[in-house]
Amino acid sequence: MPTSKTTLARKTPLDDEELVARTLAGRADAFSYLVERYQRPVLSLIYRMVHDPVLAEDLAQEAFVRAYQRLDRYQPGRKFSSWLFKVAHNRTIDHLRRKKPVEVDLEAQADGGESKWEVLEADEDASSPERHFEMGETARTIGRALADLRDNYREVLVLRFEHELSYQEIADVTGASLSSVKVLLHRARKALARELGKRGVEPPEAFT
Amino acid sequence: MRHDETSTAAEAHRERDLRSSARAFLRAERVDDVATSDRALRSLFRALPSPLPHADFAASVLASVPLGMVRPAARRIRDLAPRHRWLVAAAALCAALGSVYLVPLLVLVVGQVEWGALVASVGATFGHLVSGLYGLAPFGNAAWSLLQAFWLFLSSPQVLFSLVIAASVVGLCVRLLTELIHSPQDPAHAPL
Repeated sequence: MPTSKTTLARKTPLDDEELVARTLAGRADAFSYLVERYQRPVLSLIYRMVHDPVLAEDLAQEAFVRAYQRLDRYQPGRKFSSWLFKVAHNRTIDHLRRKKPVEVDLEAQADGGESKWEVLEADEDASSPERHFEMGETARTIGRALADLRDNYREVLVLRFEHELSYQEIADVTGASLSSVKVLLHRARKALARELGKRGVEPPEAFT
Repeated sequence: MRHDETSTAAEAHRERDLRSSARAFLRAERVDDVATSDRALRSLFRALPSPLPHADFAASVLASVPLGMVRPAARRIRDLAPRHRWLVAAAALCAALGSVYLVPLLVLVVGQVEWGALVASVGATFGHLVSGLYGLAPFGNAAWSLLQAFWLFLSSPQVLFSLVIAASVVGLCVRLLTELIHSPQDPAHAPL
């Protein structure tokens, strides 16, 4: 994931609905404005779910193509970003469900041979975020704490606090009920606090 | 060199932000202060680095987009009032039944089917005319109707067929006028 060459979004006074209308009228260049406007938040949302910048970019690209194909299903009057996040969420969930669990060759481990875990760790290192963009020690710690949360906990936290969606919008994106979203957020918050604590992040001493 | 110093300073600043946000979040969670916890999490996520899209990300998305997959016609039909929807559905049916292929085929195969051909042709003209007026069919369809009627007229020159031609010509004119009237507001032509 190169960071040296990044896109600066072009400006247009048109709002999302107007750009959608023009895309549906056959203006593919109108869609390019939508892509430029939302590429960062969509990529960021997917990245937080899959932890692999290269894979996240592929999935984000597929999400935009899917959004284009289904643009006629977008209902004007609703927030376009929420609709787009829902498309990205569905694509990411599809990917996560298809991903096969990694087998552990216990016999090989017992024999002192190279285990599949070691292979997996080597692969993880190859696609680890640190290799693609700069991350300090604290950022890495927090990133790992987030990565160790359940997918649905992590997603509601990211939607709520990174993308600042309302509870109702989160419910629309994830397909969960409003009450489930509130419960999930509460549990996600507690789980994140536990994960950060495990990694040595402590509140100021006066409060310990 | 200066760039390196700037990026190192920015990185150090971000690390400080992350540390203080994480600690503020933990402190708020410990005393169940939801409002402070919310604020701390927001600033934590703001400071958390995330990958930036590659420079040609938008271009590669557009290159992968199968052009023509959007269905503006279907969307426009859905947006119509129910009464109009029925009219458009009837027009589509007529246009399909009296299609350019069906009528000449009937005439060729059976020989003398002027009345049937006429009805089909008028239906097709009506269908294409309505579709054209609603902007649901390309301009070429109405032209096909005209050609079809003209071909029938040559095959069996009866007076009634001249009515079909007249209807087609009127249809074409109306379609042209609609194009001219609607073009300036058409989102397909407006500047972005």
